Amino acid sequence: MAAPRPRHFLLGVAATAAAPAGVVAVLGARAWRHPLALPVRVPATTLYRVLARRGVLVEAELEREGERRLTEGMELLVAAAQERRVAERVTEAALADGSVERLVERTLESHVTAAVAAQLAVSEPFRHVVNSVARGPEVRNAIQAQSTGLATELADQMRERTARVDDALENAARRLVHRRAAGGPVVRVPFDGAR
Amino acid sequence: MTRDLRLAGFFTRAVAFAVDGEVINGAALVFGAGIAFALSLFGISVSSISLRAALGAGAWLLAVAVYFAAFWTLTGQTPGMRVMGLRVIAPDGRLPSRSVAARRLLGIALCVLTFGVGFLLVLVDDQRRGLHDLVAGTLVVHGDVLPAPAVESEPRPAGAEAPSRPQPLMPAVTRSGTG
Repeated sequence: MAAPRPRHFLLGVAATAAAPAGVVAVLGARAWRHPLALPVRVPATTLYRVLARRGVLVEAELEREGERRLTEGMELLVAAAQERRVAERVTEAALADGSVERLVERTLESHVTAAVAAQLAVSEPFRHVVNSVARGPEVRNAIQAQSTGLATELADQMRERTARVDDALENAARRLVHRRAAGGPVVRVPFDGAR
Repeated sequence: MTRDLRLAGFFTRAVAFAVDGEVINGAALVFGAGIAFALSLFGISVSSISLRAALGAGAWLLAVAVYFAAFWTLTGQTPGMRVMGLRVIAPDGRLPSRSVAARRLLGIALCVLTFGVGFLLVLVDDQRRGLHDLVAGTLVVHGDVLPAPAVESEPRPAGAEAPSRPQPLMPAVTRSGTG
């Protein structure tokens, strides 16, 4: 036959020891409710209620006082934290040891993040937001400005090159007719600032 | 207020002219096809090839003349010139007037009749002017500055004084690095 487990044995010992205490409690409760115990029970109950009422009052006062002190303490704590730049130090320390980066990397590499991103990408509200942003005048203006800037840059380069060809052709033609070579004529033009 | 603008040379102007040619011919092609289609819908056909060619050539010449004259007088630059950053200015530094534009068109016709020799004058002229520029008194300059609008001559009422002549173009045609 297998030996009983030690835990079951301890539970049996505890139940055996608590049984007499239970019997005493049950007997006490019956005696307290007996009519012969009325002369003791009424004054005791009254006294208990009075004490309880006072206790509640005292408790409320303690609660208010506690809140006040807690608030003062928090204010002092926040002020000290601001004074000693606790937030900045904590942030710097967290960034210095690379724990935040590792946490972010782990978060980004997790399957949950990928699943959330995939669901977000195909969700209707997300598409609505993307469409709204794409239709925004700021985005359109930015794209247009970028395109215009590229076209302007290409045109400027082409103009510079053709201007060099102009000079070369002109110099060659002037050598043929025995005229002095030109180096880029300039004309002074009246301008009223129209554009 | 004055500004110093660099005169445009032969090659840049040739590229601008080529761009304009593409624009004109492309538009003429589309427009001609549309006209031919519309005429075919109504059952109208021109049997004579010579007449067709004459009508097409006339329409093309008219389109070219309107194209160049309109752009020169309105903004001083055709689309091709805008691509190359060029602009035509009148002798007084303003936009070409209608008469100046007409003279310039005539000058271009003369250049074509001389097999392009008139255009080659740009290479040797001190102010980089071709025959058409000499005829109209215009200059072609680099720059996106819009000159002042042209002062069109209007019929004067009897007894009114003659308007003051426009200021001639500044004579400060300079050359740097002459050698």
